[in-house]
Amino acid sequence: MGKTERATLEAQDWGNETFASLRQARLSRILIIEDNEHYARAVRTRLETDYEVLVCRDGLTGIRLIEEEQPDLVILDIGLPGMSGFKLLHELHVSSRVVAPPIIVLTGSSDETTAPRAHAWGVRTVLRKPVPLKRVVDAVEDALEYEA
Amino acid sequence: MSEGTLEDEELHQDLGHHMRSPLAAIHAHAENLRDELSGRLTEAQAQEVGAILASCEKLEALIGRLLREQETKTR
Repeated sequence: MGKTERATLEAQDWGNETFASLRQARLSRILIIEDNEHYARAVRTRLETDYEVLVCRDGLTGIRLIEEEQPDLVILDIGLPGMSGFKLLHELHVSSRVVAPPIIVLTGSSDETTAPRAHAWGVRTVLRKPVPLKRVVDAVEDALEYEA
Repeated sequence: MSEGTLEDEELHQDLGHHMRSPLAAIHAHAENLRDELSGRLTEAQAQEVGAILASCEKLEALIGRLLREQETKTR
């Protein structure tokens, strides 16, 4: 089984194959790319009262889901297995197949270069874990309002 | 700086980062409980969740201090 297939199966294991199964009214759609399953689940629980939320745990699946599902916003961890968050940002930047959605970086790294590097790829908001979930919700609302 | 000391500091930094990740998850789930996303809490349950959150914040502050000290040493 290839890496992409395995990643896809993992995404299915989390019960989040596509937005189609979630779609009811036209809520904004958010993709969380986060390898810490428990943290991702907590953020999802917080957001899914107001948004459609899809979760995957690695960059390769993240790129595929951005292309296929065209989320309105992505919450991106940087330290991901396989393809890092920065590599994903680079791939989005050079890809002609997809218009990059607004991205919020949510990282546990204390590296001081993370925020400037992310801003250089067009990321508006960088949040450093631990961060109150209220701030994540506020950042999501701000980003979606800015894009509207 | 000796090789052993450098390895120790890298180990401390790694430990700090690896501890932060599950701690962030515990903190986030406790926030969801506190904000009653999974249902109403009794007063006693709310106090228990408050204690979890307070302990998370203490541990996060300790880890943050540890990481900052290690970063200062390695500069």
